[in-house]
Amino acid sequence: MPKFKVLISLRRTMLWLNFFAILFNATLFIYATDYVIKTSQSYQFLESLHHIPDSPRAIFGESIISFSILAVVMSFHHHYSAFKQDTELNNTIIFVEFILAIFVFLSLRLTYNGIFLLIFVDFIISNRNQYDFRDYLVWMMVVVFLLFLLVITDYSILSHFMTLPDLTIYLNFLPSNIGPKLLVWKNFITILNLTLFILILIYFAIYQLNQENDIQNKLALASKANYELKNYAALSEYIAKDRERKRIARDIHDSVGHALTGIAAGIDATLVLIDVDKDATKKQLVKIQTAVKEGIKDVRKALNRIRPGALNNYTLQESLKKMLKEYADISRIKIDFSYHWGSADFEKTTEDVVFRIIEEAITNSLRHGHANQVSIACTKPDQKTYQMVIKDNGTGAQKIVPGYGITQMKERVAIINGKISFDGQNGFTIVVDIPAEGDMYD
Amino acid sequence: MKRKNKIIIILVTLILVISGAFYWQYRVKENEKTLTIGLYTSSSWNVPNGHQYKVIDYAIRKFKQEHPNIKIKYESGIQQDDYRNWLSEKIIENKTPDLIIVPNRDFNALASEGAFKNLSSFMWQDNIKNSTFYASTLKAGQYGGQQLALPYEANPTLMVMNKTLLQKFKIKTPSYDWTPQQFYKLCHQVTYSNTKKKYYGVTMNYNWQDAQFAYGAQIFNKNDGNVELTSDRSRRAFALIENIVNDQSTFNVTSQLFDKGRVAFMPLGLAQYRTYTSYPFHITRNNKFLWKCTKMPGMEGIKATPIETTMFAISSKAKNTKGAWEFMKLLCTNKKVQREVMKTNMGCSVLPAVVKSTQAQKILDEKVINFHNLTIKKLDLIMKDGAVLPKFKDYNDNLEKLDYKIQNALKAGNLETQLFNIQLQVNQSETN
Repeated sequence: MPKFKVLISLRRTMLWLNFFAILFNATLFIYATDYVIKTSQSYQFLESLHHIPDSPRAIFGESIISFSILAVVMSFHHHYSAFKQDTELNNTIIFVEFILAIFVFLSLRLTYNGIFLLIFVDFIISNRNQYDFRDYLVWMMVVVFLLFLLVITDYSILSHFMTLPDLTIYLNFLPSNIGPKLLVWKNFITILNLTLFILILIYFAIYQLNQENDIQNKLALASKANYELKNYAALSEYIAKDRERKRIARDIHDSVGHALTGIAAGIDATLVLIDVDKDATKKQLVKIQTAVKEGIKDVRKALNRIRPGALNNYTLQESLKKMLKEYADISRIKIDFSYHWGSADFEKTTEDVVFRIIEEAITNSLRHGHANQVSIACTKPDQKTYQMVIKDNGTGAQKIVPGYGITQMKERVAIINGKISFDGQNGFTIVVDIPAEGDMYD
Repeated sequence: MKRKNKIIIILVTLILVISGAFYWQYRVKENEKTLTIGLYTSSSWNVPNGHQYKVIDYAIRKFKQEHPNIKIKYESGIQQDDYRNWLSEKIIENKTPDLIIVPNRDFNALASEGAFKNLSSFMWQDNIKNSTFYASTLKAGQYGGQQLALPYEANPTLMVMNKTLLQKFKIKTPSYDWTPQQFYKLCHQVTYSNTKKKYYGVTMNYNWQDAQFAYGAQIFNKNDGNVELTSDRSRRAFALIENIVNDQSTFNVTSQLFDKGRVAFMPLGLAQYRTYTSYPFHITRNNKFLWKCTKMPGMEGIKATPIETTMFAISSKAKNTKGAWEFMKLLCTNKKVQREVMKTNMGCSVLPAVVKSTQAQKILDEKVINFHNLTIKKLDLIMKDGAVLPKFKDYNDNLEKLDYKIQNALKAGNLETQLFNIQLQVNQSETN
């Protein structure tokens, strides 16, 4: 199982290797120059160099100082947690590191470009958690950029565009048993750096793949649990519905059923009595009337038991506010509620419908629209209509396919002789028109 | 937290930048207080010279009067032969002096490597016109169209003659505007005289290059430095040399022979001429004949006099450029300093204004024994006759190769047939 710790220690090894490489290259300049002067080859050296060289000690100082700054910035970058959270800051510091690497590269008179590999490693390690970093395009771009950088920073290419001291000329002036050996060492360090870079890349890829696997396993586990929960919820809903259905049936059977049976029996009696005794018939009809009234009362009672409990004790406005507050408390949704219906006195059925539509709409906004803001406006555009507009900022719907909820809303509005319309553009909007008292159907 | 970090980073960078700027300014100020010069000890012209740093010390004293704050440093005791190596070492170590004396032969190589600063802007600022200097001496300091060095002293080659010998053969002293043909005629006449003792026309240091100058042949292509030996002028110049060699049938016509009075003509540098015709060196030569000098022979309208020029240049990595330029200006354009150069170093000043002055005549006549024949008017003419040498990096190398091959062909007596081969060989080795 690849560990992140190993990756970090590999990176640290690479940092040290680069330090060594820079030390080596910078020392080469000093060593070769001193040798040339000591053996009085200065003039020939200058002739073959084609231009005025920089002071080798300046090269040494500049490269060591710039690399030290780079190393400090890098360790600061890795030990400071602030960079791990802030993408922008992280990228800024990578950019600063890149600039410093260019300084190191220039101060070594372009003889060593392995330092850019180090920056690249730093880039991938610090960006490993970025979402878009996994995009192939970004990867491709970074890799192409790196290749381009490595190609153009090659000495043999750059020396065509600017005057540069060629380290191989320095080495040529060293005795024949030392110069080639140093060149071999120089190349060996460069290759070692490259190998380390590839090793880190491979290790990183394995690490990343493993992480991905881990996440996938966990996701699978979570979705399984989710599925079971859904099943359970469906089951419990079904049980609740069934229980309600049985209760309603029982209520009807107990109240309306009794009354209707009584009425039917009473009417049978009157049919027999009507020709025999008019007065007895009248008495019987009064009895039937009482039974009918009792029946109506029972039906009302049964209906009352079905209505939302909230509506029992409050006005419509207060009940709505209470319900909306509950919604706001249990979810993150922000609800904007404006009520301009004043003290309109609706039928209980109408109040029910309004209550249920709002409930359904908010549930839909949360469940389907993933909205985090809903505005509900209850207005009275003219004397004959009460209007309610429910609007959310969710995903909306290009094409509205009526489901159970919407169908039920339509049915409910139809009961109170109102109108309802839906709009899925720019969030989801529901407009409900309710006719004012008088036209109402009882 | 994040904001705080940003502020800290910005502050640290700001402090670093500001302190860096202060340090930089301090360094610049410190550098302006000292001026380093690279010099060699002996004369540029290989003539005995008792007072090695006399002119420089004189110039430094003058400079101090105007710039008392600048301290001038130079390393003494460097021989001219070691100078090239010494300077290379300094350049490699990046310890190049601000102001460097540059002999003719080292100029091309150093200039091509970018060792010198371009002086055009300084000259323009201080309104130094090209006509201030003799044209050929100024051109000696140009490379790739840039003025990289100013001439400091010059040593034109004169044609010295044995007046006594010429009178013996009843030959009139040649005029100043004599052609190579006239020159050859006189040489031929002297060499083919039927006398007991063998006399010669000219010493062998009149070489093929002098002949090329005389005919105004451009043997090096200005653009690529390729050798071109087969032009009409070039061929005629080679013919002259071949004829002289064939006539005299020997290469051993040396200056010793001239001193013995057996040769009519000898090219000689002005510095050498002045040294050996004046006290005390004239005595050592023990000549028993009269000396006279004239211009090198040349075709009409051709500038045929080889002039060696010593220059001063500012190092491209100079720390005190301003000071270097001020001192250089003093050395190269100040009349008093230039007069001192002419007096002490035995060469010639590079300023026409100095050469034409009556003081210059006094300098020329100083300690001269018997021969009051070099007038400032003649010297001015000679200086104006200076040939311009090609400027490219491997000039010295190519010239050496060419010289070796041509000398060999001359000795073998087949120069004319070899010319094309030599040209081909040199150009090929150039491209490789």
